[in-house]
Amino acid sequence: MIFLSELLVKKKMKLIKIIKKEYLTIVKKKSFLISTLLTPLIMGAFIILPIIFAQISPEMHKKIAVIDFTGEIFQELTKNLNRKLKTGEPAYKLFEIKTTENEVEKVKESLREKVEKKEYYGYLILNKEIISKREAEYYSKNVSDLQTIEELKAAISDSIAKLLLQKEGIELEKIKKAMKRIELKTIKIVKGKEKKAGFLSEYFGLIFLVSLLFALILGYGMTIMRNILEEKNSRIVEVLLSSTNSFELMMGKILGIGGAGITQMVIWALLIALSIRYFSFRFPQIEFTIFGTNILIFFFIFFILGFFLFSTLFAIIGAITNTDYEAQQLAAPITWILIIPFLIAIMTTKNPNGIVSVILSFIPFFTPIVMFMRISITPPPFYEILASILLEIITIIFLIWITSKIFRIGILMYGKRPSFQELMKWIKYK
Amino acid sequence: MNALIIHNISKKFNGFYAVKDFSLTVPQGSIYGILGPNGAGKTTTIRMIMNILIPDEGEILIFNQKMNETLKNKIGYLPEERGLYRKMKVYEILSYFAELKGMSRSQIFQKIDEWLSRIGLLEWKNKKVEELSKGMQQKIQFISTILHSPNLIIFDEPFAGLDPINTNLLKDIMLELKKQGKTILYSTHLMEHAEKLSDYVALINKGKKVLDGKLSEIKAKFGKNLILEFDGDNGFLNQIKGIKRIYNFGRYVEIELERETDPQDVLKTVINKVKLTKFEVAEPSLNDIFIRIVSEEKNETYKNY
Repeated sequence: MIFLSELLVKKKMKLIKIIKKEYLTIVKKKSFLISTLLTPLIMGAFIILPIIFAQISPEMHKKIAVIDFTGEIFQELTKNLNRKLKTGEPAYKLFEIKTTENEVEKVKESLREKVEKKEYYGYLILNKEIISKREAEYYSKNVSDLQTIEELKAAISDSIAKLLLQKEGIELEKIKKAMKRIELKTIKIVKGKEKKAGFLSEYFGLIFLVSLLFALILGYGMTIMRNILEEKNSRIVEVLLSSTNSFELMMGKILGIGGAGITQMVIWALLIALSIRYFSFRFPQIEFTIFGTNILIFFFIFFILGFFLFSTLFAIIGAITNTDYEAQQLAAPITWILIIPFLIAIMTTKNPNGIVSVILSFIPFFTPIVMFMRISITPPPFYEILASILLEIITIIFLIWITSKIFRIGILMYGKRPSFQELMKWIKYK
Repeated sequence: MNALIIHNISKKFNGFYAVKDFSLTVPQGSIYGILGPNGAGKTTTIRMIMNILIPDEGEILIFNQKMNETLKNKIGYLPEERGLYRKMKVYEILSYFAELKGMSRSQIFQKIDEWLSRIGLLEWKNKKVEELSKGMQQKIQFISTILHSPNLIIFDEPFAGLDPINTNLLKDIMLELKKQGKTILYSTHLMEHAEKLSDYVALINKGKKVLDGKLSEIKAKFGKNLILEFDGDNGFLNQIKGIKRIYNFGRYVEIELERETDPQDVLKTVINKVKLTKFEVAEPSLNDIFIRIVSEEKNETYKNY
């Protein structure tokens, strides 16, 4: 018994050595460092910066000149146009320009110059007939500034209404109160919890995460393939097999390289968590929680599952081919399997419980990406998630078994690539 | 005690025998050479010993056991096709291979320094493999095979591609290892490498063993060779008695004598017939022995009288 356990420890020790070597080989590479640091930066650039820019682009107050021929509206207008900026400053500053109808053209010319020189943002002309015609003129360099135009329109209308109602002896405020429109807030229900979000930002966030998942599974899978090919071509494999066995070698590679992938993700998660803390401290008014924690946990789970599943396929390719070119050729169909979920991504986002998405999410080769998509949009029942994960694990165990059979023979075969029939024969060997 | 016993192994590739009915016994503490031309089946045999290929028939016992994981730590193996991780540093790769042989890290570093200075590459310790010349890489791989001081060491063509100085260095190391009681099995297609190194040799050709045994006994069995150079007609050759075989190259003749024939008598017969320019009594080289055996199988094409 003691001898047996000792043997087991010794055997495991070798596996650990292989894992350690494969892990360190990747982690020590410059490209690993670069991609580990660069990805969160790009992510930040794509996700965080637009939010910041959109929400805190420094807004200045706008100076608007007003020529009021009615002599009544300006007073009301200054009261109505009272929106405040985040700084507490009023959004608009109005200046009344007194003139007569004969001189108006001259005044307009000097105002045009001032707008050109940016002394004024724009100018407004309120004609005498404004009340009957309900028309005013607004001159500005930027007439597509819809917010300003809408606010001016509303403020002028309100001012006119107030003047008219005052003459009838009615207070505008009472009418406003009575006529106030309701605002319809859109709130999404996630697992019984409420969550504010717009469709677009959610869609992009999801596509980003799914692309990352795709890139990670593909990238680390390819690394395994090239790693095996290198050992095969440099014939190191024979030396390794004189020290250990092919199963340990294969598992050592998968676990070591997968470990490097997990390390990268942990670093990312830490960097993201830290930067979210930092940014929410700096800009407390902005909500940065784009992805929930469960989404990130599922991301982690589906990366590991997807990685194991596809790494076995990539290991087979590495073992049965002889050149990079040949390997890339065989890897293409695997890439396609990983791309298919993207083709149905829009469909899945619109209806995550559609029949195609549901079926694909239970096919182990699509599970990692499609199930992750479904979960991040509208989580399916827990038993569905569990079932897909179990199915995935069973498939992985089966594939590791097959791969170890092919790997054992393939890594020592040079020359012609084996046919499918030959592969089946290898699997049947003792 | 035998370090390695091979019982009647055979291996077929696509219906063609790469190795057929091959047996071998390697005594512990000896240097055993497997000799034969390219394609004779040397590498296939060694791969079967290493359990990389599984024999179709027969059995291989190493220290009286079939190959297993614990046994692997006691064996060092240098494959015919060399290769190291190009991007790894010399000491990293040496310690990785040694760790995989179950060696503890504390021992490894001392051993690496020892062996690197023995082969004159200590200052390359922290260099990447790709910066080394081919010959250097080969020496690094050679010591990676023996770093964990295995009891059985198997070298497949250890001298291939090395210059004479490095060849001698490796031969010296092999002899030292033998003195320490290690068993060495190696293969080569250049017979002259085996002459002074091997205690035992096995000659194989076309997948079959044609001869094996102690080198000294083999040489004794093949008797002495006479080498003659002369001016004149070679008709006298028929008159010499006690001859096994003659390799006739015109005015240069190699004569294989019966064991009881005295070269002195031959000289007496010959000296009156032709003008001798050279008369030499020599042990047959392994090369001669190999060619003799192979040519016997090929209807003795070299025999020309």
